[in-house]
Amino acid sequence: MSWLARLRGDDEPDERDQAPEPDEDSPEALQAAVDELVRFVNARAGALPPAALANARALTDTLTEVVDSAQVRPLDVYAVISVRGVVGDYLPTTLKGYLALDPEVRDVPRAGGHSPTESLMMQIDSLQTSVQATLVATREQDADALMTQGRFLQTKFNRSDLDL
Amino acid sequence: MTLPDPRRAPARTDLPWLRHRPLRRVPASPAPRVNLQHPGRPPLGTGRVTPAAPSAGASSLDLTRPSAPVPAPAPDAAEASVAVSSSLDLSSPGLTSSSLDLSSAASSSLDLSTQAPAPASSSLDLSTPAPAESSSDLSTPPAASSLDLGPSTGAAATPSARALVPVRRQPSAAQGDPVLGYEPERVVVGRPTLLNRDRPTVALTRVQSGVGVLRLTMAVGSGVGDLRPAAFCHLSTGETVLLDHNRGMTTAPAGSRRPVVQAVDRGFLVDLRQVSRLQRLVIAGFSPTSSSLAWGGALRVETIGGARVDVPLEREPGAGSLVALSILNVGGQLVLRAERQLVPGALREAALAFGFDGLTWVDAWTPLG
Repeated sequence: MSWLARLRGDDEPDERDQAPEPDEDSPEALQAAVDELVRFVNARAGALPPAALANARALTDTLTEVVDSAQVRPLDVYAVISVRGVVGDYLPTTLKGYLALDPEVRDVPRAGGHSPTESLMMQIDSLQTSVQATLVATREQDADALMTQGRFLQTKFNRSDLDL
Repeated sequence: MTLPDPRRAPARTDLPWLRHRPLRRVPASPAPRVNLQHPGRPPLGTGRVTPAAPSAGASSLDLTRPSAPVPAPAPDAAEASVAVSSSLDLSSPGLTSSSLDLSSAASSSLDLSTQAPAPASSSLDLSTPAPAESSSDLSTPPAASSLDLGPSTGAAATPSARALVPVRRQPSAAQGDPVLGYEPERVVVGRPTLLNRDRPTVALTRVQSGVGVLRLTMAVGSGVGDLRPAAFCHLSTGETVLLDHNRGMTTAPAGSRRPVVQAVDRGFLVDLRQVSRLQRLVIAGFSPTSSSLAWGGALRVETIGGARVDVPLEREPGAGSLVALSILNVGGQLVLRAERQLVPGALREAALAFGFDGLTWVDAWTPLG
């Protein structure tokens, strides 16, 4: 509040009325989205091939690892976009597209030479590769940050190179 | 109709025999053939085989090496072949050539057999003699090629024979195969493996997954409350079974004398000799009175070889069903995963939350048998 408003006796705005909007890109929100995706996958586990189910759950594990890395340092925008895309769009769309098929045609090869089940496996594997690359990049950033911190501490507490 | 997958077809073992089987030789003399060489051409040099003279009734195209060397065609013999030659005869020197006769004396742009003057041999020249062997020389194939289905001699056929041996590729999820797309962590015998949030899944090897019995035991202290184990089992036949020892639902398949999964006191037994019949197994703890439980204890998984996996049952106190562990059969490997999901409500809600929607329920706790 400005000093003029205080002199005039204006009421201070109630901070409770200005509740911050929920940050959809916060680690907590991302983890909640991953948990919701896990429940989505589990609820449809009976209609998925066991290998696809295992790989989809491994993908959610990798997503959790990416989100957990925010405990060390904030996620960069690319990691957030990657997690958001897989959790909110790519994996649910893949699974819904597969589950919408008649079970009798899921193992019949299509014109491209692959059956829908094979295509499902390939799509999940592609997503896993993408998220794994994001996790590796995040961990490398953490390692770089640790090395930078080490150089800072060495410079701060050791003798300077300029000392005689 | 379902078409069989050619990649899963059994390996052809008769291909080498087909390539090397003795072929019945056909007498060379009556075989109709087309001479691709100009009759006025002088005999070839050493090492080259002179094509056979055109014979009466020639109608087909013979691109093979003649069985025996024959003398160079005489002009008279060539003229004799003119009368009965067909339009495919590329060697007829007669003057009454048809529109497809490529060897007439009057040279045209399509003349492939005119010998003089022959400035240079092109790749389409089928008759101009060349001093060196070329790949376009159809009269004397230099060696057996991969298209040669006749009896092969020497080592020339060995590489092509090797190329026909089918090579089995490694299954990969990236190529659509129903396998794990990652390298799973394994259970080390003699050291218990704890499944938690940081390491939620582990896989048994095919030997661990296929030998003996998998024993699952729920170890719970007295302070937890009336915690009882239950299991949802999905078999490869499509059958879904709820196992609850306290209510007499003890075998999967239901009523089987040789069950794949059997409910015992405080746990379950999986007959790993029948592991191929098991598709998915989910272990849960619940209170039959729907009372709130102080979750605690652990679910222990043991193989006959001494491998051990522990899954904690720790959650905040509350009612509902705690789904502790899921077991998936992926190509003969059992993949164990700590679920740690507390599902509010009765067993029916837990079943639906994990995709066991093939059960018909009498009430929220009891499926229709």
